[in-house]
Amino acid sequence: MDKEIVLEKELEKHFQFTSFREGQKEIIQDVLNGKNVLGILPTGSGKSICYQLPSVLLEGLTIVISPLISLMIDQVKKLKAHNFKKVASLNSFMNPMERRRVINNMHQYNLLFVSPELLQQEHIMKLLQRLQISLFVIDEAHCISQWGHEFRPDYLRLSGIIEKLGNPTILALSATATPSVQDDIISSLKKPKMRKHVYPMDKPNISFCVDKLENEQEKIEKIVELLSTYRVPTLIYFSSRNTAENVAKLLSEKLKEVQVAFYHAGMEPSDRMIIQQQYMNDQLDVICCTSAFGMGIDKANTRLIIHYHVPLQLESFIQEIGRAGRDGKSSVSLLLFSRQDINMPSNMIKNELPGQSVLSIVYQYLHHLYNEGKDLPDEEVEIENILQINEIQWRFLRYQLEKHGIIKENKIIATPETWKDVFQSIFHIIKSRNKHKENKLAEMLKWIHDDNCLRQSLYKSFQPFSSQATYQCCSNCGFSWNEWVPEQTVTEVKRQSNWQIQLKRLLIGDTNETK
Amino acid sequence: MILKWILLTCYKHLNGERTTSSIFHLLKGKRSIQTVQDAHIYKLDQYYGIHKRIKKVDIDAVTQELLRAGYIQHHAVNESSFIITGPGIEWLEKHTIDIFFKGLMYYEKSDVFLDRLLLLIQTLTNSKENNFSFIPIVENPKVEFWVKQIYRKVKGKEASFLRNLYNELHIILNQFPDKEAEIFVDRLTAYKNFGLSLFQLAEKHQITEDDAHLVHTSSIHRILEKVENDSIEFPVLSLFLKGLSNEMMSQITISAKETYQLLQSGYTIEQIAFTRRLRENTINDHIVEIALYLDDFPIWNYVKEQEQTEILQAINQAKSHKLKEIKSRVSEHINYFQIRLVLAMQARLQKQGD
Ligand SMILES: Nc1ncnc2c1ncn2[C@@H]1O[C@H](COP(=O)(O)OP(=O)(O)O)[C@@H](O)[C@H]1O
Ligand SMILES: [Zn+2]
Repeated sequence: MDKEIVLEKELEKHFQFTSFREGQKEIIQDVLNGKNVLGILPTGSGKSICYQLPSVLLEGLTIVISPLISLMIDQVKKLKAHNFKKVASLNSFMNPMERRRVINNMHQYNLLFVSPELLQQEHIMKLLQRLQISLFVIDEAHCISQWGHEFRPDYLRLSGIIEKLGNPTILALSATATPSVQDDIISSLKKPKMRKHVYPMDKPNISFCVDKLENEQEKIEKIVELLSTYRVPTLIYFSSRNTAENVAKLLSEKLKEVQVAFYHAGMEPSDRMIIQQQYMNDQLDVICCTSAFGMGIDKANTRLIIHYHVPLQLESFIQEIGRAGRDGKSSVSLLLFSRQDINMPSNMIKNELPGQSVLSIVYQYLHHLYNEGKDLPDEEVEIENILQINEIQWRFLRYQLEKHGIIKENKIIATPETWKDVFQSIFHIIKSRNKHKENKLAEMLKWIHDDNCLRQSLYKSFQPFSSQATYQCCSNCGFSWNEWVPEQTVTEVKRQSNWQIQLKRLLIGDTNETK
Repeated sequence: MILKWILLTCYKHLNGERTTSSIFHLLKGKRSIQTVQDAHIYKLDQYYGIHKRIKKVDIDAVTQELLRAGYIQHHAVNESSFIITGPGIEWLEKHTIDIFFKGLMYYEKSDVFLDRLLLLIQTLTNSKENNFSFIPIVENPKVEFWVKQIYRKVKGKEASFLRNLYNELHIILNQFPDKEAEIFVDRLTAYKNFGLSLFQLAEKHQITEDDAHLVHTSSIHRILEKVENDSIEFPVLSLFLKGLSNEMMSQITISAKETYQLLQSGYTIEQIAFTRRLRENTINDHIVEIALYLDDFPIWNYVKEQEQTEILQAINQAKSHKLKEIKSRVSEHINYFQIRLVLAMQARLQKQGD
């Protein structure tokens, strides 16, 4: 009882929130008591507080493993902006000088974000081993599971790392994890007694619509029609960067009033930040984006989420629509489907992991190095260039080659006799992984073509039952656009062409005096 | 249009003696001796580093456009270089564009100046509104440190500081082409109002992203020029230049600086190459680089008076800066290194004469 009161006070003191949201307190109490916890909380529910608060209350360092560097950098920035100074990140994108600065000041931090690859580096591990690690957090923990939608092989090594760090308390967090993924996470971490805190992820305030159309043209027409009716913060998700850009351009031509921008991981970090912040500050109405947008962005009033392409799995879809209506007001998810789309996702799946031809190139390359008595180049980028494969493909292969004892760091340690079998088994792993993804895609497509309530079928593999819709339910239960009347937001066109007025407004503020 | 104009100007100056890649390196501001030297020799130093994010494909696309329009043609011998044509020269004369660059001069200064300005404006407009949790638009520890120091002094007096800054910017921007002033202002970020990205700027003004970037760079260079020339009239803007120098030595690569120091302590080229474990040719490169910047470079240590005259004559005869052309017109014993030194010296002297 005593402890509860204290926790609330601490929350207010450090984060200025007056009460906990569902799940936060339960998780934090367990963590503070040294229990290992698996927390499944929907997007936007405030997962980060579950480790941020313990990090200030516990003595020693809290380490957070995060799969996406951009996400990590965002988190650190946001915390710093809120005067949370004892936080830093370590990732492979930092230059050696920046990294050294963080390493030298390590004892001053409460909270350290690290990318999983860096934990493979011995000197970093040595350093961490000397510190007192009070909490080890695995964000986006579904990445551990080979059945999770963003499987990351370097996450599989975490159980070894945790052991080397002297078994600190573990907190694994995810927004989407089916029961089988949950089991997988627990068994990969080798902590069978982990406490599960699983909270429902369904969003009663979101209405689900699927619209089956003939072609791209009709999709654009539909979007134009909607955006000219509804002036609300809107995200449009695409699978391809190019299409996102092109549609954004098209929309801003067709809808002069509406402020449209695009966002994807191929843009300069500074441009990405500008677009994010403009959206947060209501300077933009619509963002055409890839899945890179949205993680770590908490805007309360996103009202409409459109999927222009079919997501590869229900998990990604659920995560993306979870960005709508965080304020609890009526919001809509619209998925646009045309039969022409069917090939695109299967091709994407095929290209994610290396195919047979890539494998044989890698085989020959290793053979060549072996014969010459050489090691692999130090720079990962160099290897990727030589083999003409992308970062994700090489990371996957490196992990497999290390696991099967062919290479260790940059050295080739096995003689070629054993290689054939190993490559065979790697090929099987790839095949079964692709198969798994094909199944996931089939699930997604099945949902699109489901005649029953879309809300119920969407969540049924994740939770035993889902709650009633607060507003309209779904297009199979009779959704009507006419009945959807969200509050219109007006993005004042803040940039006008008279620079004199604009400059005055920016530096001095709105003044009525005319110049 | 602006990139097109600049590229055509570059092709005109290079006269087929360099390839398109060298223009790419020039605009990007590659820190190589070759690039810096070319910038001087071909009088393109104003364009050095004015678009550090430019992509080779964009340059290639505009080059193709120029080729199709008949403004340039392939060099007779070297397929990968181009020569400006009569119509090209006419086009350049007909289209004057109002931009201003001092690329090599402001290479380092302009970025730091801009970052300081952007971050301080964002910081002060936010702190004036008592908003202390904003995402900084600039991420650069040195600039952040600088802004923190100024902020400490200005705290509580944000409004008057901003008003003075506004007045100074207003005076300067008023002398600019309207579009350039507008683009400069559009990039600024203030309280609850983030500046436009390059893409957004390009869209708003119906120009390419590259041109938007170039116009923005031009506005910064103009501001720097005005403020440097009249620091008394612009005390607030001068503040942003504190501690930044145009000092020539600061533009020399670090490695060349080391060579320079050893030279000054009396080491010979061979000795320097040996102690630094570098090839003699690399040390020669360093020396040429140094020669481009130092007014009192002791060229006679490397090229005798009469050799200098001979090389200068050859340059005049050859009407070219191509080393091969020049080499074929001088005595056997004169080497490429000596020719490059004379070219460097000539470029430096010509620039001062301008
Ligand atoms: N107890 C709370 N009270 C009010 N707001 C909260 C609380 N916990 C978290 N938030 C806010 O909710 C938003 C989403 O939190 P975040 O941790 O980013 O979500 P998630 O990681 O689960 O998507 C943030 O703006 C955060 O500040
Ligand atoms: Zn329904």
